[in-house]
Amino acid sequence: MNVFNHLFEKLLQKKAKNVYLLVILQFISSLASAFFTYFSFYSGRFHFNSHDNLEFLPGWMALFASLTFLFGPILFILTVVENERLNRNQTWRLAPISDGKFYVANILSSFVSLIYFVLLDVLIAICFLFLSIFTNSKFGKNLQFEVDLNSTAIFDFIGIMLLLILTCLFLYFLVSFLNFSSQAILDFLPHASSHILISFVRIFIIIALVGLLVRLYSVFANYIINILLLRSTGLAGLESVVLMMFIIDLIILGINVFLINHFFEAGER
Amino acid sequence: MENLLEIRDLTYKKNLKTILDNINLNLQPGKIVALLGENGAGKTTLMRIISGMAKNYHGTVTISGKNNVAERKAQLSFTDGLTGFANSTKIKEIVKFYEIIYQDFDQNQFEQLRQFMKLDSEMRLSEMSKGMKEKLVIALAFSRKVDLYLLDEPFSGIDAMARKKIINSIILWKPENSTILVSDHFVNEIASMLDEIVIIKDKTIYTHKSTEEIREHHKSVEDYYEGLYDAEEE
Repeated sequence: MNVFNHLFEKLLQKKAKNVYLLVILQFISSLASAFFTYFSFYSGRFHFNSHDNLEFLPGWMALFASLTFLFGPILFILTVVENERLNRNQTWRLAPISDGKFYVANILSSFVSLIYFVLLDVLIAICFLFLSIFTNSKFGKNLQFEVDLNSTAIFDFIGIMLLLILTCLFLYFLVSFLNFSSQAILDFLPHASSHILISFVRIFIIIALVGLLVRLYSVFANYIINILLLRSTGLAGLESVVLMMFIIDLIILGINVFLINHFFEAGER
Repeated sequence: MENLLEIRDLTYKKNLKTILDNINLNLQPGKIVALLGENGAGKTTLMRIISGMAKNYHGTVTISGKNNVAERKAQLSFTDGLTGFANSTKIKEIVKFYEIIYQDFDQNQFEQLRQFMKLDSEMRLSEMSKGMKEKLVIALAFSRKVDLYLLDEPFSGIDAMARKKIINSIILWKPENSTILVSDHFVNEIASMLDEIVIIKDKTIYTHKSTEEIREHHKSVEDYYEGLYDAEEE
């Protein structure tokens, strides 16, 4: 477990660099967008465009917050690519730990880096909010929070958050599954010297695997989970989706651990 | 004496091609063994299988009686191309990684080796020549205290003078009971430090002999090795 923790820490440190880079980019992009929204250049100098509803700082905050929906997915894609690069890397795979545990540490560190990104964004947005309140009393007075804290709303919120987490993990697992299984199948096929041919065969294998997964999912979801599990447990709606996603995640994680332990090799040097 | 490395009935196929066929090999503790063979003979593949990097083979590989990949990895040090690090990574950052990941990593030993290899801790991978990178890889490999060192063509980019110095010093860097398995093309240069040689030919272990035995019957290890291929050509 000790090696696992150290490995996780190192992987997270590596991935956190992307997080810092993206947060800085997001900050600069939102500043640039706010600047061009609130200022225009004519007669040889910049002029402030007054907006009735929003001052510069709150406007910058709104732009920063909205850019999370652009930079978040970018970070997700970067971590997906990084995961698969590290899964194949000999330097990392030589760590004295089973390949399955290495895989779990790798995926977990990517997921934590995503959470870290969200936390940093929330923290910066809160800073913006306080700055806006302190610099503009009108903004503070107009600010109103209306949160309906009934138990159903809280339950739904937790359910949606869980579903989001499980979906994010599912996407990581799915990409790994397609990578591991297509590479394992390629290793069993005759050697081809052409990279283009190998890529073509790999794409074909991936399409076939996706088709197979969709077919398996329809059988699994419709017959096994709906009939056997959900009816017997009495769960419905969001809970059933969360439960189904959890089970699918566990299954695909198990398959990936098996593939990396027995078939998916580290690249040579 | 109990074997350190035991390979039993190992066969490895990839892309419908047999790379290694029915390999059986035992290495005892405290030996320096050369793994020889032509390009593409399967030397690197054998090392990758021992280190758990290559998968889906038939047969068993055990180090000190342990078959489990994680336990095997903990007992061996394999020269790695350092591809897991960005080119901007400094030597001191790589050392930090090794210190954290490998509990057997000896910082003092690395410092001695780094000075011996004339490497600057502040140097980045992008600033290093192929030879310097190989020196770093050797220094990192021997800074771990393990039972088995796997050196895969470790000297190919290092200049002749430095190579000679490193080869003469290797015996001082390894713990007494540790075994080194080294693959190299410069047979004549490593011959002086060797206890045994293993030759891979026709996908299997062609011969496994002690250098003492070879020297009793032949001129040198290099002559013996070259003789195998000369006889085939004739």
